[in-house]
Amino acid sequence: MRAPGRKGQAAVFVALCLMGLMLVVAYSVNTGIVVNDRIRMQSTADLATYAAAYSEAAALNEITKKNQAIADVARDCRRTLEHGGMPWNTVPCGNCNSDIGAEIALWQCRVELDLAVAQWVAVADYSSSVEPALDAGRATAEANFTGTGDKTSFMEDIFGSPTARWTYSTFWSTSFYGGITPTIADFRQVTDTAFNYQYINYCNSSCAPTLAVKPAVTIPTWFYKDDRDPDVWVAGRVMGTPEKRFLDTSYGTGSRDGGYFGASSTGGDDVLVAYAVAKPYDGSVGPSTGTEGNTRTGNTLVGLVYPSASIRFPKLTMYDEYRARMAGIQDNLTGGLAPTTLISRDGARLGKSWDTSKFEH
Amino acid sequence: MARARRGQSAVETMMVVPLIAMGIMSLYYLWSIIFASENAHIRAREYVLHGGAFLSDTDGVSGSDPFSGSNYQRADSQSFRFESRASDQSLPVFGRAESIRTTAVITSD
Repeated sequence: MRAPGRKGQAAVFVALCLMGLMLVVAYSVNTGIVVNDRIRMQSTADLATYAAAYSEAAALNEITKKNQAIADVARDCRRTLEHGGMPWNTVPCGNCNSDIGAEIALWQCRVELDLAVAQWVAVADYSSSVEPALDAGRATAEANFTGTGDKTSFMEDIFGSPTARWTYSTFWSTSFYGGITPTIADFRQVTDTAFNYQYINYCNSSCAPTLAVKPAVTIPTWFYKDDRDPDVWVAGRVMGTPEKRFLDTSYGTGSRDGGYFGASSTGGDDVLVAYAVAKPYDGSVGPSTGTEGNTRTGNTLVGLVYPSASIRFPKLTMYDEYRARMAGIQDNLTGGLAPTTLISRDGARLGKSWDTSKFEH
Repeated sequence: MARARRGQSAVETMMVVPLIAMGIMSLYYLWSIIFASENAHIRAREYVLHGGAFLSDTDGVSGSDPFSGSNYQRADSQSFRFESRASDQSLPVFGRAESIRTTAVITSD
């Protein structure tokens, strides 16, 4: 026989069990949603960073094309000045020490080369090469995870980051002017490409004309990099709070304003952060396969047009085949700040740890 | 009195067991939806980067991607858009399954 005081004991027990069960269910479901959102956030970071790297790859291809155009102009100019192996003899002139036709051709070369260099600078400039990439990354983040576009960073505000303005720059010059421009990578310009020609020199008196060689002039031409491309890469950070939260409750005060598990949506654990690294690869802006001298610069044109057995073309390996791939935080990417260093400077709390070496993408 | 209470535990158990069973089934159902969503998101992301190159099957996945053959494609333009769609279904509970559809985008604008 049950004592009167024990009436309803089972009901209380059942209620407690059900409450516990519901809490387990709720916690499990919320955890599932967090994991799902975390996957979405990581995908968003990957795709946004890939988009930026893809845009940079396209920019590098355009830069390479313009670089090749400079080399093409230089090659054509040398062909013109070589004059089919015949000495220039436009207008017989006593002791002129030059040929008017060759000088006009040389002047035209100078103008065309300067124009080609200016076009290269225009596409290599930060505003044409890097800024569109950052815009593409943000657009991709927003397209994949609403609300993250304006919270996406590519570390462009950290000097030394490959995406920051003035981390890399290029000195450039033409026959008439020059300057320094922020660019997607550090480029160097070949400034000693030589141009000269052979001509017939007449003397004023009755002496016989002689063959003469005009002293060479040098004109700034194409650009190259010491290395192919390891300093061109993108580290992206995407952050945000999913719009549709499941069991979140709004506290409305203090820091507990309704994020995951009632935490803060502005600075707590419910603000999801994801990092990713991507890079352009497989192209070459300029000749960079060698290590020193003419091989590195591709400047086999540094020799004179005359005398030469044949026109020597620059040993160029310009290769506008840049594409993009995901990279890793642990990738040995040199130039500027390495991914781990860069993300550490960003103040990342990866896996609740400030030690980015423990985090692998 | 004692006779009247016979079977009370059985009745209480009958009332509680369905509740617990519903709780477990709900958990299973929601877990299945979440798993399907995760799967769909991962498949969409994978497809927009690599197409079907590394997916064991491409059922329910389609779109455009920068991957061709065994390598990434050359980056032709700073204006681009790749997009994939993926879907997955949760496991059926009482004959009901949820369909999850996701999209992954790589775009310049």
